[in-house]
Amino acid sequence: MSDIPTKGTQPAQAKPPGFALLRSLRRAPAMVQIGFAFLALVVLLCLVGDLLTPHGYTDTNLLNRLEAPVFMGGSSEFLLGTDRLGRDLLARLIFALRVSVVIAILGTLIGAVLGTLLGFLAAHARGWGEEAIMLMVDFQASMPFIIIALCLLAFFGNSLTLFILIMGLNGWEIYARLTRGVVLSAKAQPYTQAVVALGANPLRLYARHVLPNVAGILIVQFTLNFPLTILLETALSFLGLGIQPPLTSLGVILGEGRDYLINAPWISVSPGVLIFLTTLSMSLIGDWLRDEMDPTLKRSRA
Amino acid sequence: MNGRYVVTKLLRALITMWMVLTFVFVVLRMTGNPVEALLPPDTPQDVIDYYSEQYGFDDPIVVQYGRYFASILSGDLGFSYLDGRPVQEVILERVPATLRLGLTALGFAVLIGVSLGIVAALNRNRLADRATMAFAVFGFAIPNFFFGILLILLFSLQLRWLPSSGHGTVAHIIMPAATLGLAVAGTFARFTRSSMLEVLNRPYMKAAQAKGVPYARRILRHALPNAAIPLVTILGFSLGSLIAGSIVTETVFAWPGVGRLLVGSVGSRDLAVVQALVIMIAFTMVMVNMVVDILYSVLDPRIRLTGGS
Repeated sequence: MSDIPTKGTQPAQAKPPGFALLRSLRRAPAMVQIGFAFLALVVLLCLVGDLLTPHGYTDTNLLNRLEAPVFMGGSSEFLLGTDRLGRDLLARLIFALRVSVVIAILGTLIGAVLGTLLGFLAAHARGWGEEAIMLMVDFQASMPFIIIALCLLAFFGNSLTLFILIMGLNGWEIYARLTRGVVLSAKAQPYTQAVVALGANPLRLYARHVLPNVAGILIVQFTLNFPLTILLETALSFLGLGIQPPLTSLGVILGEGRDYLINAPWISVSPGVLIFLTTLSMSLIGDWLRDEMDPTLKRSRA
Repeated sequence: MNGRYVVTKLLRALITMWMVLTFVFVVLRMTGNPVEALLPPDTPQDVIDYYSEQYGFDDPIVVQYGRYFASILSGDLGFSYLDGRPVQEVILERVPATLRLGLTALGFAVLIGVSLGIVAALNRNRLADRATMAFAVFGFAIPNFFFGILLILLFSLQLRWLPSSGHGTVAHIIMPAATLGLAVAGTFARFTRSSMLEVLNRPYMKAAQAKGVPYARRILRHALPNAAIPLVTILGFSLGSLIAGSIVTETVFAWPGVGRLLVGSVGSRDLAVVQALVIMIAFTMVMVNMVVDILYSVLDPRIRLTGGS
């Protein structure tokens, strides 16, 4: 990938996100607005979800095992039913949602910062430093990331820190590639030459003048990467190789419910629906943002 | 020009393979003494020492690196500590099941994805188009493990039409293949649509119409072959998505393939098997992508003319 970015990624066309975006949200397709509303609900659940249920997420209640949710004929004490140990599913879901969302945000952030830094470094260094970084980019892009993740988990053994770091490695190469391309094209433009002529050092040039121009693209990439991180985390946790009990995540609950599909399908279905709606909302918003920020992509993108 | 293109692609594939092997080597040595990692956890110290010397883990790292390459090139991948059999044997007996599932899913995905994409392109901005695009977004956003579980709930537990796990008959492969193929079908639908839209606007389509070529023939013989060329690259992408998907899908449906072997080996930390699987998967990906690139240049002469990188 040694090509200079095409017209699609030029900073001149990226509007800084902010009020303009809020205004265009009102003109957004209904699906996107629903997506935003759902994400707001997710955030709300993460913050104050505990108010919905008197139970803790680890409180066992062996007399009330595998109770059905209230809309399937269960009692109103456990709104979404209980699991094999009689733990309140609503409390568990809220806790798991928190864990999944926090890990996805941390992971996506780590990837964004790491990738962006390496992208700047590659564009600044040129020469073999750039080649080395781009070689790593190509390497990661050539393998499904879940394989790399599984390899690291097997060799190092599972720990929460390692797991979050692995989430952070997911997708850094896209930021690196994007950033490098945009910085290279920005460096060729008159305004950067003007700034350099005025005596700005490279750090100031990148931080004050180039970064704001690429921020839009990076934010779009963030929203596109976020659902992928959630999917990766829940998949690994579902396989029993991610988040470990007593901590729990949406993937863990889904995996636990797999053994009770006949008697208690709600244990698997409710976290599944949560994951699906969250990733769906986020990708709808991501696609919309990409189109909003870059009108030239609207026609040419697949 | 063509020869040079192939050589460039070959070199790139070799470099990627070298990086994968080095990655595995470095990561495994970062965990400490690889013998301890490769042997069962409760191995006595004198056995560890014996093997450390036997395999030369006391040697300088460069020597070890060379020997590592030599042993992999000669096909010696070590032993699975779970049952003591050679790793090749453990893996190879799982390959047929994975290929059967993967190819069925791919066939499924191409058939459904391409048909939906054509229908969507021909009905641009109408209901069929929107439904297809919704399907593509759905296929991308739904986690495959959840989709698999929904299928089991509906077709195995409610309707009792299909078995929920195992393998052997045609009925067994339907749900795993649908689960595995869903995301890929969505991708194909999306790319077929945009590729068809582009081709449908070309002058030669107008010319064919003016000549009086019947509608179905125009679409299938004039538009489709040209629209299909870019889809060859999607084939390369989909391989990654199929491999990643098979890890989860095989676990959900208890399918006796390589993906489930990888999950099991990571869980029990059977590192010799994990190492071999990672190398094998990487090799498959690199080879397929190289073939796809070369195939693409054969199908579309413009690529060859604009050269290597």
